[in-house]
Amino acid sequence: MIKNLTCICCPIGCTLTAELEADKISSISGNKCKRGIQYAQEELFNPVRILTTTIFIPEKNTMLPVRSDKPLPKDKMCGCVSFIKTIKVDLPIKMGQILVNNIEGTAIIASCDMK
Amino acid sequence: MQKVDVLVIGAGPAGTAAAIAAKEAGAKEVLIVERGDRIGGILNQCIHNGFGLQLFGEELTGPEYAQRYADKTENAGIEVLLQTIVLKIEKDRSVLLQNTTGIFQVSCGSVIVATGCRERPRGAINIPGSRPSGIFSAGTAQKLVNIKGYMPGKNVVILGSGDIGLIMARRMTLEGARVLAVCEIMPYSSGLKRNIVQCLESFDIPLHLSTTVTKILGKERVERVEISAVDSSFKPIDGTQRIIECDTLLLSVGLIPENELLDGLDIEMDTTTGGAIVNDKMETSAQGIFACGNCLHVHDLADYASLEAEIAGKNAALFTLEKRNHTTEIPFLAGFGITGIVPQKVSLDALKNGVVISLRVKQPFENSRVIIKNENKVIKEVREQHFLPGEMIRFTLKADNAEILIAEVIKND
Amino acid sequence: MIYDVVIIGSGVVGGLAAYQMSKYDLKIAVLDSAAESATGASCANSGILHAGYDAEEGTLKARLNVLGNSLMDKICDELDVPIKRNGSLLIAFSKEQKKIIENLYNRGIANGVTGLDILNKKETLELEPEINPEIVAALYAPSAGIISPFELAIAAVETAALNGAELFFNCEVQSIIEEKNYITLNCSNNQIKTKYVINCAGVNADKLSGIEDFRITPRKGEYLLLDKKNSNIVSHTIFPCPTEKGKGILLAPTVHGNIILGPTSTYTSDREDVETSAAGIEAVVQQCMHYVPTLEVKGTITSFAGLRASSNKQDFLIDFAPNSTRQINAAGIDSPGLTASPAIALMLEQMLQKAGLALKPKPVFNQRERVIHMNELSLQQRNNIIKNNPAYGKIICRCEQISEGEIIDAIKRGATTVDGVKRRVRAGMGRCQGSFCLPSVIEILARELNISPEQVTKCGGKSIYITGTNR
Repeated sequence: MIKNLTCICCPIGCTLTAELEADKISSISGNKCKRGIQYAQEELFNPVRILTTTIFIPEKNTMLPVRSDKPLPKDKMCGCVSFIKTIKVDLPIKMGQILVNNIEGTAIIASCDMK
Repeated sequence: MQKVDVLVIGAGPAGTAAAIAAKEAGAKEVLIVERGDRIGGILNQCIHNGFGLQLFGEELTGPEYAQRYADKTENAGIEVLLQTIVLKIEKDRSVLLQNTTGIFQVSCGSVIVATGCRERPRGAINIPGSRPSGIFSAGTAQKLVNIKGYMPGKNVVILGSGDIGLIMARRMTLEGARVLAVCEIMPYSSGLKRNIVQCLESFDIPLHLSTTVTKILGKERVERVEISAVDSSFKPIDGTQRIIECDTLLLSVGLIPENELLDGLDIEMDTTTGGAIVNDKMETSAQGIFACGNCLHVHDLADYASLEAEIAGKNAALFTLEKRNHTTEIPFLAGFGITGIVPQKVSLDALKNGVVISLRVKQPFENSRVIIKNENKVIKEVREQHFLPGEMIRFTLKADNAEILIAEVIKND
Repeated sequence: MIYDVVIIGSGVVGGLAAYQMSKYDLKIAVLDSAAESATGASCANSGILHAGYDAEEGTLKARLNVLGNSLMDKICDELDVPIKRNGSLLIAFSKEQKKIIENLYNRGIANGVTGLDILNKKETLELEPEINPEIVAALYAPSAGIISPFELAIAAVETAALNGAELFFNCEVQSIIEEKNYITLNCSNNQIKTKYVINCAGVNADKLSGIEDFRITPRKGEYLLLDKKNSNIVSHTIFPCPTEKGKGILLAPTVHGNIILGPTSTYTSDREDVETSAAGIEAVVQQCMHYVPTLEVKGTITSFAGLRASSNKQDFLIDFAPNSTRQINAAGIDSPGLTASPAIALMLEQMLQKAGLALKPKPVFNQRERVIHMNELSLQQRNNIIKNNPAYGKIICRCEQISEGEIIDAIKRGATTVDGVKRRVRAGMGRCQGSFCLPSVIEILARELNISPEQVTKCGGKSIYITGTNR
């Protein structure tokens, strides 16, 4: 069986062609770099995404942009967004600071400084 | 009156990069003026990742990219005036500023305009219908969601499948809204393919190509929109109208470079880019006034806006320090299929060392290549699988000499 | 409590009536079914002050147009509302049309219009070089002008309120019951008793008029507004020759420096239908390009539609309701209603006086403090204001350069909605149409009115922006 997919690792968006035999990938083509191969493998069996969302900071009356450190399962994204809303964060915050650990196998980190 | 060597207007990815480059090129007093309450410009609300791949080899979120430049700006000893706007740039490069302390003037050795762009509103494309609340440009919705934490709607239709529209389709969905459709008037999306996948397909949001919104309905708040298929001249096809019940319409129908500050300075403008005509130093036709970033021409990648801004910054500093050479400039003209060439003028000494050129095709081309000619002689070819108007073509052009440069599309035989 | 005078409707007619009556020692109330003043025809018309040659001699329209036109400079000065006497040119493309111009000229003289002249092609093109060179003549009216109609209505209402008039918004009058000594108004959220009532309810005035065969059929007009960058194209108001449909589609500068094109003229049965249409906008563009072939409509900022309160009576209906000594109708006020509005107010005052209402002038009558429009002041003046109050230094609407201080002023003066702020200080009227300033305007309204951002509306009712928070 042949599956076509668009790689989302970078803005180029290579069109990948994956050949599947008995639920296993036998070959991948169309990728301009190695990351496309890993992407195809994950996307076909366990699609993951980097999650980016926001957390409210009451003292600044503004939202703090946050991200998942590593990709997490695509179908868990919405649930994670809901959970992340409940996290309380204390100022000051540094970019990269871990706000909560171990959400679906990754940490949620701050995307910028906030004083 | 305060005197600065280089004034940069805007602290987005272009403005900050320009200021840092100006400092590195020897300018002593570099001042950035920014109307927002933090450095970063539009990147502060672009919380998604996809930035920095070209510059840092990493996939950063917009705020992360902005933070890196904010840190570099601070470390470089560049002064930043936040929540300050420029009222006017005078011909002698004195600039009128305003903030809550008052109105004051700054005299500048050189000025770099990095004011970004604004979104095309509903009124500019005249979508018929009523004028209820619930119609937002995608960027305004993005600001409400990502900076203020307010949801602008629950059942959303998006017009425009450029990246901003696609990104907002995903963002609204993640925050609990239902995005019912993304409509695109062209027969193809101008957004990155990866965004079609990760923003629409991943959430089962339908994309209707060759479709536009032909009416907005609702007395007080949006209640429904009428969408129609369009023909090859983008005219709605009678009989294809259908109604989508919704409470929100997001518009992602084009970005317009923001160049109001250049009015009254008699600066030559390019109608194909919406920005100023510049030479390879990013200098406009007004001496000492430079332009870079989205106000010069709309970029697809922030990385390239920053790289371009470095050229503006360096040359603005050299201008102030009076370290510039003047050499002959030749025009760079758009031939068949090409538009939006930047820079529009190239100096011969820079051409010897290589000049970064950006341009776009006017329509999609398959099985073709872009050629650059010096009069009749082809001096460079750019080959790709296909060329799309939504994807800026960027390359370095090098030549020992030239009279006149022309870029055009020709079919591969 | 029984009011002396209640005015139904706070557009230009109701507003100026309230302004006039608030000069007297009277208990006055102004009612409007909408959330704010001037949300009907008064916010969606061409803003033209007509010279007064259009209406037939002897009609109220003719008399009140000319009188109103002559009163406008003083009214605008008192109310601190911008006005410009830019003059108008009614252009003729043929000999037949030239005859129409000559008839209008004569009618204008009979109506008392001053300064009218018929210009030949050369003279017209000297005044306006961009006009289609195919014209043969033009009727020139130097007394024509342009004004901001919603600013006029709002200023009139604010000043009336400053002098004691009570304002009731979101208050729809459902029925009027006349007793011997007073009138009872049954409203959606209230019951109000008054000695006299003036019905200026615009498009809905027929329902309250008490006249069985008086019918208002809303007549929709669609408009296009162009960027200020195009504003040099004409300086006079350009009219075509009128037809039985009306004055026709015009092209004019606005008092704030935009160019306005329109209106179309189509009857509609829906009294709330202010939808624009592709055909309507196209018609406006086609017509105006005929007057000015070099017109560039690429710089369109927005399009909108308004409903004229056109009635089956050809003239204004300004009279006591049948069998009434207490209710006056000022209804069917379509064009030239805006121009006539100060004169209508005087006429209403006279009618009330004749009916027995004692008009004792207030010993003190206050005008509003001059409204601060920062971008009209000198740098020195602006600096002084900012030093005194830093909020005037923070620019919120970048396109029109409107500061937070001005927006706060607007709210203090009575704005409770985003449109109310927009109509008072122009925040959101520029080329980005609020893309930049909307989030800030919503926050400022929420803060100043002590409501949540989810409660902020565009124009009252259900016109909210924010449907929830992610906080």
